[in-house]
Amino acid sequence: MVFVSDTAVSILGIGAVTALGEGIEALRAGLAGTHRPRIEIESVALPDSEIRLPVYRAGTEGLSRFASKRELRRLDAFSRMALLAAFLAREDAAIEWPDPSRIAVVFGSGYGPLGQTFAFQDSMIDDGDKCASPACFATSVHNVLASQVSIAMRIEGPCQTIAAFGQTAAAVLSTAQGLLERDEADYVLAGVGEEYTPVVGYCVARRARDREGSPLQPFLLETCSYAPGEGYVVFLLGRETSEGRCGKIERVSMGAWEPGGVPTGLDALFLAANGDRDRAEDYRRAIPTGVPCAAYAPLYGSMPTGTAFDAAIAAISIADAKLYAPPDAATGSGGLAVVEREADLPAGARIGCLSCDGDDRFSLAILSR
Amino acid sequence: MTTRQAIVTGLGCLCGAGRSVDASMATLYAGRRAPRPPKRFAVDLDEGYPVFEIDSDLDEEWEGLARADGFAGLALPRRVSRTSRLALLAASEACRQARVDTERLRSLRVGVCMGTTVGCTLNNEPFYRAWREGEAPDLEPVEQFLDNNPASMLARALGARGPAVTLANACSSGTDAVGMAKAWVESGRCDVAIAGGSDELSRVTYLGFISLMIASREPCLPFDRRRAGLNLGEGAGALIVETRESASARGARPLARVLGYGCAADAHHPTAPHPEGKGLRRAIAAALKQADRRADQVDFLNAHGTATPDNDRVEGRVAADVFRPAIPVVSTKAYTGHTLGAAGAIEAVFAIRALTDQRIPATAGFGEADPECRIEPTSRAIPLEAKVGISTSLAFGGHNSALVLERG
Repeated sequence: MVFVSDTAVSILGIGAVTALGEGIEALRAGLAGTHRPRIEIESVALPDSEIRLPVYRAGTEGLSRFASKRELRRLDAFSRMALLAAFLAREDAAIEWPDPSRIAVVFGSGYGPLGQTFAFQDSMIDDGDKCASPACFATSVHNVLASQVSIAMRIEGPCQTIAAFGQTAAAVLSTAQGLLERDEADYVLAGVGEEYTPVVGYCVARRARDREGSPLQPFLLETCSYAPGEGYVVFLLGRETSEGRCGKIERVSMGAWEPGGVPTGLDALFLAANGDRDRAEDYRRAIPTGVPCAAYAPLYGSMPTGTAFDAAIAAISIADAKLYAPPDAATGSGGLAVVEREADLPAGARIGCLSCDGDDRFSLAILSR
Repeated sequence: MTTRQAIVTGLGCLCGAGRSVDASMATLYAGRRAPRPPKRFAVDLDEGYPVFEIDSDLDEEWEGLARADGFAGLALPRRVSRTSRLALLAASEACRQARVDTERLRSLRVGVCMGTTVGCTLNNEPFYRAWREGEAPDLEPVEQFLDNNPASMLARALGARGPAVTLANACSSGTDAVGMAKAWVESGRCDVAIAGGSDELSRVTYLGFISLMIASREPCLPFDRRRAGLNLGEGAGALIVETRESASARGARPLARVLGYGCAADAHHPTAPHPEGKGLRRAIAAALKQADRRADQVDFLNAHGTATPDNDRVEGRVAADVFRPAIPVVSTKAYTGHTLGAAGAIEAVFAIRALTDQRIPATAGFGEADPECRIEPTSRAIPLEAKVGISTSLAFGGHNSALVLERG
């Protein structure tokens, strides 16, 4: 009973803003091991201790290449990430921008614009109920990112925002598939990401007091090594007949677990495992025996929406016909068939991006050439 | 072109007008409304801004839920938010009318699509204040936030095994959720979809709308020349959307068909609608195209009608340009307040009831026509001979949505 969207759509371009830097080349350099993510160590005070927490931070300096200071002056940090990723996706696709009413925006995040949510509460606390900030309130709604992108890029088609924690990426991609399938758009900017705030750091530290300073090691499934990340990835998608430079999204499944939910015959499975030990059993149960596995959260950080970043990495892998070894392949496999060294991918390779989200829910996006 | 039809077989609703669909409709048809300052939280303001609050903790309904016929085994969340309570109570009312119980839900491919604003926002003030002051607060409020994403919570509670998607398109989320459910059902991806929206009143959103200076100090007056802003409200609406085959297999009566859905962006301003309603016009056109109906075949319009100066002016102008002259127009915000992510779903419920009852309520509060709006909404409850109705929503961010609904 797994929900399946199986209308293949082409990936025409990808924009990624991550701790590795801006653009798909920064992500590729991270995969090749020639570039390291920007990790800051944050000290988080708890009632009886202080935790040193690695945090993956993303910058948006490159946005000035696409928009004027005037256009950007009121944009919050999270909107900047999404907007930069959207511009990069359009640049990567190098297509003629069509009728604006035929382009759609489908964005999502697990937690939404936390920075502005707390900024509004700051204004209530600091300035009183009578002087709460309208600017912060207006930018604290979840759909502010899609809205800012539609305004800045003059996009007038359907515009949706999804907030479904670990299932967000799959929901965004399947919604985009549906819009193209029903001919409600010719192109869809499908974007997913998260924003880091110190409150997130506090929550992570509080939930995992024993993770002291260790790096993110997703294959140590029983160990908590969650290291919060931030960033945004946007795919410019078109119908399968379009020229897909980065392969295609073949199908998206989501819903409650059932045997066979992850098909056999995949050339690789990218896990959204991110140092959250609560998901260990779910991953063990879901992964078919012998399928080569990788987890790339050590490149971009722990986020509920990691599947979107994995899908970008899958698209790069397919374009390069190469399976990149994940950064911590050597730290232990947790009993899985981990990709330990770079390997060639066959023509027609299919890569699944799997997220186990608790409560027996999972999602899977399959990408292929 | 799809051959599957998205049929509505069950409706559920709780809001300031009533704690069930029937109770709400009785209030609407009677033209009663009683907004008042919020009771569930305190604010430090010089003046009161009325809201439409549900005057109950909903404990009785909540406790009755697990004992209700057909709902044995309901997996109620351990930590439950008010938004979740509203969502589950509305969904269970809709399930009862559609004659689907939890056992049947577990045997079908059931998706859940819910709209919300408050329900997906980590805006627990005591937690945040304590964290700011370095008090290392307990994570219980955060855990509650994580457990209460409306669609996930409903899927978990009801045993729905398909997709669970929460839409966060601000004030149009509920309309968009019904549109998404339609797409799932027509594409064959789900047998049944539970669609709706849910939002509780919150101090944060209350102060937010006041800070934007679009909340009224008086009961709201949709489309009226004297209108001075919106009143907030809380509530939930839920619809059971399924294929005709699925409904007839268990003898469920089709109440309406979701004929068309469209949405479009203004690409204009983060909070204000496009002055000519550019996105709204396209959303309506897209919904009519999908419905294969002309604008002159629409028998009534359930307008977003928030009673803010900008919204009603834009919406009125678009309605006057697009639909036939003197089309009956109603705004029900004057009975429910603006329930944000729930509004579109609650109003889809009301619009379907208008189709089945062949009657639409008065637009409470409307008294003096505004030439700038170019339409006059209903000033009393009127009988209808309606087959097709349309319900529209306009949201922050310039998002516009429209649903075309057909009787039976």
